[in-house]
Amino acid sequence: MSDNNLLAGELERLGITRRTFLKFCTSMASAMALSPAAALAMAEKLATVKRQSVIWLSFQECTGCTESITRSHKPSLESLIFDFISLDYHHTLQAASGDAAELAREQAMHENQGKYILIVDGSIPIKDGGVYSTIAGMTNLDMLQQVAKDAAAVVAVGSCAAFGGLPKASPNPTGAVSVADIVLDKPIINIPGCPPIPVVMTGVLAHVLTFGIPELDSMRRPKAFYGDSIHDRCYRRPYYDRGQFAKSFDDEGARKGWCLYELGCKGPVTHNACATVKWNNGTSFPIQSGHGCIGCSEPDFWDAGGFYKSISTGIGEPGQWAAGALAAGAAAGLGSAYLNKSKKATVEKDHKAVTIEDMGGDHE
Amino acid sequence: MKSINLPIEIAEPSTGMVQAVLSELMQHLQQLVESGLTHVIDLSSLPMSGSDRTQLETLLGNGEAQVILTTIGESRIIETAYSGIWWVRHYNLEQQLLAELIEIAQVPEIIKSHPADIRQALHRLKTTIELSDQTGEQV
Repeated sequence: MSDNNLLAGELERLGITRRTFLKFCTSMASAMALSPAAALAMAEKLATVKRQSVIWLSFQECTGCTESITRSHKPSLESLIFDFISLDYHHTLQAASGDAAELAREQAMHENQGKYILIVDGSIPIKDGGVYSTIAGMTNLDMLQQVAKDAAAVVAVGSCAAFGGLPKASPNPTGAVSVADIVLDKPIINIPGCPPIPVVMTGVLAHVLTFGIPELDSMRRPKAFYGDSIHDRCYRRPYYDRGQFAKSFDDEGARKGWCLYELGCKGPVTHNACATVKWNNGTSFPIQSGHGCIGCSEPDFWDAGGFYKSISTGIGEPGQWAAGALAAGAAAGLGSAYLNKSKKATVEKDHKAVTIEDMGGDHE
Repeated sequence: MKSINLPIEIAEPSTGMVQAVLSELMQHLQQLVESGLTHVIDLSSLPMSGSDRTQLETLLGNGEAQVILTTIGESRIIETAYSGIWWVRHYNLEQQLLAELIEIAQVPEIIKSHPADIRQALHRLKTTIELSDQTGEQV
């Protein structure tokens, strides 16, 4: 029998065959635009690792991120990710409460010192000593510092943890900040979105478990999912290129499905995978439902002027919504196909170091 | 004169991707013949239109083998009319397509029984035989 401490043993116990496992990895690799050969390497590698200890801390948040990840195509393939990790602390999902819950957290920190992954959703209030949000009598600030200290990596899930989100919106009464503002000496992966797309969260976790931290952009977002803007991959893009815009929500243009740019769509300045992965098991995404993108995965989206104000008319204090992004968005109109291809080439290049050989021989 | 209504369907344009995929397939099939090297193409990563997809499917056709796996949703694996070129589709329980690949190999990787699963099967079989020995029942 296989070593029960390894994921392979765990899979046997659950009756999950390697075939199912490979199928999971193939879907993940495809979603992340990795080379298909990476799926096999991922499956072989994942079987030989220990079940990864994960501590999930929820601070100033609405639990929407947890809602999103726990409903990732349930009860289907993607939810298998929960069998691949050991979720040692998550105060919304765990059965234990009170002292027992905090004890579980401390125990996991002790047993997996320097090896556990810390997932954070929600921002951290630091005004007035952090009194505006506490868990078990401990401020969010103290708890984050304590748990991050011995973590291998920190994953900031959702716009609040990644960028401060709604709690940080002007006038920011609690002094809310992001994880990266507090944790300065650990690798951080930001998975913004309000909430993030389920498969983006599971995909990034699968990547961390196997190949380590994926390639990130300047805002520490995984390039595989946040490399393109919504506008780059929008099916309404041809209308933008032809100058066909809806002018109000019930005019002829809106009914014909023209571009929503003039109705305040933030697609050109928003980096996320909604236009390709979509929502609710691939059903639709805001633009497909006739509403512009509100840019929920970008920093300070709540303070970026009105949701219905066109970005061409200026969006309040620009901040990260740089004018340069607009120009870049327009220049990228040459063809999303080309963009897609070059993106894939980059992702493939970055991953070519990992081959089946690297993972220890043939799959025979 | 009586007017008639003709249903009009707007066809998705061909992008020319089919030719590119075909020549890629040819190169990899040649490699399989010469050196046994296998390859996988992820179709969802290619900017193909719906009509491209249909055209490619028609061109490759169906061969002799069709395999259905049932592992948390179906996987349908079809050998095309060109031996060694397999069309692989993975679905979830809701019958949504999760991944679509073309695999150039003698047998697609996922069809093979994995050594770990085989070891597990051997263990189970031994247990079954031992149990039946103990109870004296015939297997």
